[in-house]
Amino acid sequence: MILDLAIYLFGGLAIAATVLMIFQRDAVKAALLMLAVLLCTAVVYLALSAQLLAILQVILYAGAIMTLFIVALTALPAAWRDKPAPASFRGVLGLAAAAVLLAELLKVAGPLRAVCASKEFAETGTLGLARLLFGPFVFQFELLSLVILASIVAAVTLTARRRA
Amino acid sequence: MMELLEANKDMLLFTGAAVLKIGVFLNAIMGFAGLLTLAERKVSALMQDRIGPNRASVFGFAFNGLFHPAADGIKMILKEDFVPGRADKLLFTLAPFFALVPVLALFAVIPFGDYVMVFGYQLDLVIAEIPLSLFLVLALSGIAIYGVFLGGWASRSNFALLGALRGAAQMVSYEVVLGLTLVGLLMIFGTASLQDLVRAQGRLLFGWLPAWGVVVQPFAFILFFVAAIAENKRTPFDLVEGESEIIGYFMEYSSMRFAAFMFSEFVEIILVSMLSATLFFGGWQVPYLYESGFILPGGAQFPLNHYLIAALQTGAFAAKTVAFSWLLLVIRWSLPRFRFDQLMGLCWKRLLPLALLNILLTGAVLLFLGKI
Amino acid sequence: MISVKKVDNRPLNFLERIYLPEIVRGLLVTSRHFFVNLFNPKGMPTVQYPEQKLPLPHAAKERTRHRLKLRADGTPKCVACFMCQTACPAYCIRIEAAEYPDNPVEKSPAVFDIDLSRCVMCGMCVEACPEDAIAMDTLEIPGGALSRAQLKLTKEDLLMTLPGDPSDKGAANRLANEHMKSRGEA
Repeated sequence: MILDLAIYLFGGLAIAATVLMIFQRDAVKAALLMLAVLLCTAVVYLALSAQLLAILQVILYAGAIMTLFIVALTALPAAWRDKPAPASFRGVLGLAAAAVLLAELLKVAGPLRAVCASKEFAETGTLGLARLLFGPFVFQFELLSLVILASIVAAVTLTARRRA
Repeated sequence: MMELLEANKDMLLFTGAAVLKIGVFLNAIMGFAGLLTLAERKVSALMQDRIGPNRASVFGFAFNGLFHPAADGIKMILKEDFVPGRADKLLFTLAPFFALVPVLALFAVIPFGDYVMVFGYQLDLVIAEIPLSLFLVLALSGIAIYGVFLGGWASRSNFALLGALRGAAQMVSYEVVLGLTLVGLLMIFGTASLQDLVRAQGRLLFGWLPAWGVVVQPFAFILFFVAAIAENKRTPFDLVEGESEIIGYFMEYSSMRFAAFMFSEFVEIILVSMLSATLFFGGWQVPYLYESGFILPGGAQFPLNHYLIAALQTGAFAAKTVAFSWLLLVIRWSLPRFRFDQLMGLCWKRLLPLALLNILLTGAVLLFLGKI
Repeated sequence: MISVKKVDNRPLNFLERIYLPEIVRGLLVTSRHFFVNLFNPKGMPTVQYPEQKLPLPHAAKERTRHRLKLRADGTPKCVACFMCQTACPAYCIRIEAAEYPDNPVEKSPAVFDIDLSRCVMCGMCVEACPEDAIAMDTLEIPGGALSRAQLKLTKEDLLMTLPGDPSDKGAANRLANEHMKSRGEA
């Protein structure tokens, strides 16, 4: 009973924090709300007795990745403006992107749910996924990290050019 | 009513025991942290041939300075609680909590004894016995970075922000080393629960040498201790704060908010001491002391009372903690500060490769001994 | 005399470069001091200041709290010439002059205030005084006070004769001595 309550409470908190994050204009505060989301999902994992997942979520996402995000954000000049920059057509662009993402999510939600709820996935699904990722798809997997690195470099150069 | 009590007996007993343990253990830690604020000044004074603070007195009794922590506390409470005009009020208030709460929460998983039998019930001498407590330590110490960073950022002061950036960079870097040094222990003892880790350290190697972490992983202990001091943000790694010349992340803080940051540093000293003792120096283990009493390597036996053994073990843990705290204080007052590039170079160019090498060597030895 | 200190600039050997043995050596030095002082607190050179005082070395005796010297008849030697007030770099002396009713030769200070919170203990007033009336030889070291008013010394605080004062017989001023001689004093 307490566990159910915890799942609904922290799940609800995670959703609320996500909504707040989307409508937050201050980049650093948005990142902090994202931290709240990550911590809430960690508690949900814990309530689902996935202890290792919860702790890894905190170590990797909350402890390492979000720290780097926030440090990078505060180093940007945008974080030091007292008033957030006025949203222009970028808002519309963002909404369009969000709509596309939401549609995609809804599209996969149905099949994904069927896969995860099945019994054999719960027993060996993670292992099979790991075997696939580090077996036949290891090259693509490592390529993904390269893509992420490239996007980080791109983001840095974009902001650097604007400052000059 | 009695039926309801009887039905929920286990849960009530569990809750009562947990509240009792939290009350006793946390109060002991808070008291010790308060004394550490005095010990820091006294130890440094004695090392420098001075006497140290000895003037605060109650009714003319000074007890060689014992009342200074209380005087400091009163002074902190009475100071003006100042928030800079441009500061972000919410985050400015939140930051001290982020600094203090994760550190205090970590004490829940540190075992301070084996167990005692009370009225036929087994009382585990650890607040929360969870199987992955070692990872929880790393997770929560990662959260503690936010206190430093938010403190600096929410102040809207350039100096505080620079201190916070230094702090975040330093803590994230040394967090990696801290995690990697513990992998060797995990490989040898095969458990991530601190209580099991301590129990495993009670075994004997070659029939006479206690299998403490420092015996099986001496190299990892040195790396861990260096990284832990860096995580603790104390000299020689105190570039985050640098109280004597460079200015740190809590420069805009005053009153009890500042005290929370300062106090968290002293609680972290205890935490680092307890972790070092637990992971590498056998925690509550006393060499050759088992559940029935002392069994020396020669075969001589000295049976002891169960409660006496529990008291001995908890006392041993306290003694180890105090000894490590003293060592941390002496290190802080003996060594000069690193430059920032030296600090980062030490982490990424020296400690990290050495930690990886340690893992490799441990794996090789385990493979050679056929333990994998 | 020029002394030459030879610095050993040889490159560090391996043990010194990994720091740890040197750190342990440093810790041994500091912890030796710690334990020696812990078990033998009497060996520390610390002086518990207000209760326990060291004798002042020679010249330091002449830089303690000020006093105004007195003549044999109890009048201040000070003739309110304002030399010390002019010489004071910290502007901490305030003098108001007054005349003696029966003495047309010299003045006397009606007010002589020294603000110790501004005084820098430089001794310029003593150097400037033509009458040898102000001195800084009370051996009291001005310390803290609970209010600013406590740090302000008036003429009454300052006037004092120390035992063995050689100059309590008459003024150093020739005119004043002649005047007093004419009245049959001194």
